[in-house]
Amino acid sequence: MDKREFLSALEQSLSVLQEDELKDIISEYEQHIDIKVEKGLTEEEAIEDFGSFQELTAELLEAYHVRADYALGGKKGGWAEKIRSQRKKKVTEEESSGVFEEGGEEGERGEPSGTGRQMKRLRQVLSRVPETWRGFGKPSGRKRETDPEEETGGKTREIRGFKKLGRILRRKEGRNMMRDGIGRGIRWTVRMTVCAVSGGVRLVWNSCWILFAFTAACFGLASLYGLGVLAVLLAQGYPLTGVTLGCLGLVMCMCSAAVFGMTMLKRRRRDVRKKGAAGERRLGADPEPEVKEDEISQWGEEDPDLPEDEDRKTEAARREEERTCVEYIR
Amino acid sequence: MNAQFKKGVLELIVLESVRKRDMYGYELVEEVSKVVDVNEGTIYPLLKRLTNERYFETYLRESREGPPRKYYHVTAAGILYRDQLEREWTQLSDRVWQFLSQNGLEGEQRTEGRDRSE
Repeated sequence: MDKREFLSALEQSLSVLQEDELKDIISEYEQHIDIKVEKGLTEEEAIEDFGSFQELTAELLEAYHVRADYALGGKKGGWAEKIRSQRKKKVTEEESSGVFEEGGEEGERGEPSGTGRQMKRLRQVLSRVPETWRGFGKPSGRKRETDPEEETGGKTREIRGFKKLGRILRRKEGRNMMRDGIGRGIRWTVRMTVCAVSGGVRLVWNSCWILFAFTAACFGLASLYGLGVLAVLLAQGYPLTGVTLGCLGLVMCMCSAAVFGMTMLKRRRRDVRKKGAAGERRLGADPEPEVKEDEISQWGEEDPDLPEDEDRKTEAARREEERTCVEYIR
Repeated sequence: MNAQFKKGVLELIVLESVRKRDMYGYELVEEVSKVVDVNEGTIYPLLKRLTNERYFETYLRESREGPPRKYYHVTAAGILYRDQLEREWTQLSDRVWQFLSQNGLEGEQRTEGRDRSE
């Protein structure tokens, strides 16, 4: 197994993980192998030092709290059993084309499974098969279980069979995709028209209410101005108490009408809310939460944390002293 | 050495190594290999786990040769965790040592008694 094979196998068996995490791990291992190669080892030797591939992936998945056998569909008996079940499937497949429906009945796994998933898993296994065969050629003891009957008996026939199965699968998949494509197109157009209609209705509704709120707010401001003038006159001794109170009531009424108008706005989505409220409020957009990773990377790039290192050194020295003291006492 | 022994203290060794100095993966593998003979592949999952549990944080730094390297830096939580592990380790090893030496003493006494009776 060389580097490329190892990394692709790793990628495949960790495919449950998120893409960036996966890339992260792959690059770690790639770097490790590269450094080892620089130091004069071959790629094969470097990979051999990792030990058992299965254990490695199991431990990696465990670090993410993922069940180690998830990616392989809860397999029980390792590679040999997998291949055997494949062969069984191939035989039934040659008799009838409805292999995917039968896949679930074969009872390879206890639980029932949809044809789509079955197909996906089948394809996954198929793509792995060539690697397995390549692995068999080498005497190095990877922990894949292979039974002797398979190693000796008719490799080429087996491979041809898998190729054929792969071809049939691909053809079937193509047809399905076409049908799916049409269905998806119709669904998409329906969804788009619904979206457009509801958007239009919402727009009209919103603009009506905004207009109402705007007018109310204008009246409110005007009456506020009037209230101010009346209050000044009242203070100068004119008998305007009643009118002033009425004006105050008008201000309050208008303000509440404006607020009511704003609450009537339909805002189902974020962009709509922004559009509707942009004129009235939300001008002071809340500041973006700072990203912590930025800080980390900045801190990492800028200074090679000398003071901290010194601190640690002194701490280490202190600990050393303590240790010698303790030993002395003993 | 017993693999289970190694597995238990591996976390402590890794935490201590990174606490002394920020390191990248390969460096760390070498450092740990100085202490215990360990399978190289198993360090990375451990690093991943400790990072996921916020005991480490990572940053990239350019290297003279090749792509930038991911350095590991221990967090405050990591240091606390390390101290806890150290306490547990010393306690365990003390007790085991005590137990072993106590048994040894008893054994000696027994043999002495037998000598005397003879």
